[in-house]
Amino acid sequence: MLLLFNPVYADYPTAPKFQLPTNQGVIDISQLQGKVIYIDFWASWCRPCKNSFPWMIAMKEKFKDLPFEIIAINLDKDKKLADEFIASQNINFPVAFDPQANVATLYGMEGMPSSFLIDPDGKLRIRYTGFWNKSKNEKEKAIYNLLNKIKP
Amino acid sequence: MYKIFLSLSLLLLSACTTVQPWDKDLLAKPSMALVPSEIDNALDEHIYFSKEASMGGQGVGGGGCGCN
Amino acid sequence: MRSTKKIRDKLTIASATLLQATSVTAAEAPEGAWNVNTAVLFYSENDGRVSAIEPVISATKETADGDIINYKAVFDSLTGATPTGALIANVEQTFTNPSGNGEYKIPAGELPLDDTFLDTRVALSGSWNTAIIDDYSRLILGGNLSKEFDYTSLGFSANFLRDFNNRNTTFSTAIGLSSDKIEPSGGIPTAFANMKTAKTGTNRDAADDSKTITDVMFGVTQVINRRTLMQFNLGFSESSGYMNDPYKIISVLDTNGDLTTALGVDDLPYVYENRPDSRSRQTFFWKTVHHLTEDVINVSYRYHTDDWGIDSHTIDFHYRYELGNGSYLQPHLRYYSQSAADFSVTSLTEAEAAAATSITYASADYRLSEFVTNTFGVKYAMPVGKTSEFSVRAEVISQVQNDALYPDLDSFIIQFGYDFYFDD
Repeated sequence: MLLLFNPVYADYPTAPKFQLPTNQGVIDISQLQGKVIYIDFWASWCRPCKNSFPWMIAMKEKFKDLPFEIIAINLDKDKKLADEFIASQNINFPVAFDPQANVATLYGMEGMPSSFLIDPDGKLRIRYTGFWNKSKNEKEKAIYNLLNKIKP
Repeated sequence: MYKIFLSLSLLLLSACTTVQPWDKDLLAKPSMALVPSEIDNALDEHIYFSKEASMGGQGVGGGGCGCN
Repeated sequence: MRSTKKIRDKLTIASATLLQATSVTAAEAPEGAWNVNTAVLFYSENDGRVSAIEPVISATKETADGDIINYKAVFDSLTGATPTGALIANVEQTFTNPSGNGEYKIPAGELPLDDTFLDTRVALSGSWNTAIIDDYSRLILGGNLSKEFDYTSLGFSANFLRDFNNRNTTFSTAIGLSSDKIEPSGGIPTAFANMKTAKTGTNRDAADDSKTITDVMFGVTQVINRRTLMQFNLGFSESSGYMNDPYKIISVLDTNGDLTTALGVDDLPYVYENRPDSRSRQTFFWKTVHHLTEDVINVSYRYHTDDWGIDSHTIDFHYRYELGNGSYLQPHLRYYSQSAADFSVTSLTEAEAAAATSITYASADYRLSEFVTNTFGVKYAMPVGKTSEFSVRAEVISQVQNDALYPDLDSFIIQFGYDFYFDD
């Protein structure tokens, strides 16, 4: 009954570069060039955002020996609320903080959560709006397909 | 009455700023729901329906965090 | 996420409940668990009139697919008595029970009250809220059933919502249909027939009758800014069928203002009321929710008009005052005023009663007259553990009639609520 429409970028624009603080220092996306990157914008007040973490953790674990990175970018205005949630999960990827939504504005989004799949050349491939159980397999396949394009 | 409804809604639609998804933190709070307590609302509506000649009007709405 | 409510409330509580958390923070909510809201309301009126106890339970769950389902049950147990529409007299009055099997006497100077209609009521409702077409639209389907000894109501509703404008605007279109059947104690009385004395049976047409109600509602919800949300609704309702209250009567007075003595055999000086068999209503509703630094204001205005001549204005105001650590105090004010129905009367003259037919209309029901209702209440809520909430609410409702011949009404409510999550 539901068609999920995840726009594929027609011309693969370059993913905006950024540096953001994490709880373990600064992360710079340009240092991850050559890998498949999944960026997820989330906030503690957004329930589907929080529901997506177990899946992201599972994906990072599944592809842990491959050139695949997840960066979760938090948009909470109150960092305490974000830290509370982070403490409740066993997150195996960096969580960056963008409380002024500067990076979020660069990427542009229509709803929360919004995730972006970036190929090893640093180009934006797909934007996902919302988190749906239905589309988990489709997303995993998209990650897998991009990983296959990387020459060993 | 239709004219009032139409002009008020058009006026508001034009006067509003587009709120970005990451700025919906306050709107996402349960206290900001259009009907924060459905049970209180339903019980009250039933009481007033039994004592007054008007009813309804509230309908369903949007708002909230705009997630999913 | 959107809040859901069936577009009409009737005698039966028929509201589909909100997806996600209502008064409990969703932050800690276990995924896929049932959000259960329970409450018990105690209701009491002045002067030996109606008292009621109403327990409610409502359970909402989001499925793995993102559908939201809700089930709700309400029980109503009423005791006491309600005005029949007959006037206070300076003599003792005798009335026959609606069933025709007995009589009751009202002393001089007292308001005639009847307890026949009071009983137990059960109302069940369910709703299913699903994304449809794409993730910007939702369809909410609801059903409800309400039953008491003399009244059954069955209804369905469908509501379609679509988000626009980065989900800052939501348009909704809803339709509701309901079919009600009434089987009054003693059957359906003949319009304007006299109430008969107890031994001689009743002036009845049929055992039961029915009515149908169709509602349509258009709405727009608009995010004004980060702190403000507004909603506008335009509603249209058409009812058709038996709209009378079979237990309501009208005193017939002679030229001196006393109860008429020009009566037929076994007749009492009261006649049964009659209302039109159709009613066309329109409502305009506007709500604003605004977040201050910590607190939230929720205020709404409703205008109602119909072809019975009733116009009403409702202003409803809640102020949620955050006390910190998740508890809050919420004062509530409500102002309501309505004009009288075109056929609203306090009594009939002998001539009017004689000339009345099935297509003239008159009712002495205090609910159709001109009055103002003021409500003042306060609610206190506090979190229990990480995901539950306890609340208590008390309200005073004061209804003041414009015409002193109609009875004023004072009522008092106290409600206890407990919301929690249940993982199945």
